[in-house]
Amino acid sequence: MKTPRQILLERHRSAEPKLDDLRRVVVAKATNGGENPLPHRPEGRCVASAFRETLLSLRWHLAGMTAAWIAVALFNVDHSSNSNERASSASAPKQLMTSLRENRRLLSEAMETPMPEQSPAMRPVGPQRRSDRQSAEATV
Amino acid sequence: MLVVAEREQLPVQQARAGSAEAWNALFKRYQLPLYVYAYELVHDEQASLDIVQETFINAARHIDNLREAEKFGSWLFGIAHQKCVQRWREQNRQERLLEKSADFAPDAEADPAEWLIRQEDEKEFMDLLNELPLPQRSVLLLHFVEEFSLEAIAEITGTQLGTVKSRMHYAKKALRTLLTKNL
Repeated sequence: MKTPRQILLERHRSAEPKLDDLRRVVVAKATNGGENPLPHRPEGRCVASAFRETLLSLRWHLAGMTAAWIAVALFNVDHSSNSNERASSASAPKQLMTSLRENRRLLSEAMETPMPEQSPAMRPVGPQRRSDRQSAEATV
Repeated sequence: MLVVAEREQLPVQQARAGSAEAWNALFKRYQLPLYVYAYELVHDEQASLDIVQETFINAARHIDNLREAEKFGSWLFGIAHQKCVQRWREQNRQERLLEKSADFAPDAEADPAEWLIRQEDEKEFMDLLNELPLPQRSVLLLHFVEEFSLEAIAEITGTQLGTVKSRMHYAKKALRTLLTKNL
């Protein structure tokens, strides 16, 4: 009793010498830089392709991990924003009262103290205008 | 299910790096199965040898397109299948088969190693196999020769899984008389 595979392979076993010749020709032609050279790749590209293969083989794991981390991050953001809101809502009346008091104090200070007159020292220093100089000389 | 092509450690990485030894080992591993597949579809020795040679050359040229090294076998058979299809088209002998939709669950995943055939029935088995339409024969050969899964056969032949299941069902049905005789 034989399996279909055994029957099929044995049936064509006689073709093996021809296949061996064919294989040798293809490999020799290709590796000797013949018509159809095999890809000779530098070490860097090999490493890159190995890295790519590793990534590809891990793609589902990576996707799962990414999804899990996104979920965790979303949960954290949501949680922290809620706690911030709560904290800010709790401190709001206090801040309001403080700022109102400050405003009142500034207002009362402004109403009590008169605006100081501009002292001569505060006058802008610089050359007099020509018209002013001329009028002063005329009066002398 | 036992999948021969995917349990082996093949030197695909070394072949990618340009090792002649690795290519030699890979081609040696697949030369006879590829030849059997091509021959049983085209029934011409020289054409089958040409298909194997062209498959090897294409594999060496386009190894960069292979993403998963463990799928080297199905990828190689995919190239050979395309070559066979081209040949059918050139000879205008492509058979058109009206496929019925696969709305059943055939036992297509059964291990082909369980199909044991008596020596005296070998000729009858080959005759029945050769009477099958090309698409069914192609699916059955891939199942027999390399024990590819239905999903891998769908990838190799570029057809949908349901179509592969349907073809496998009809192919097995056609061989049923011989198989039941041996049970």
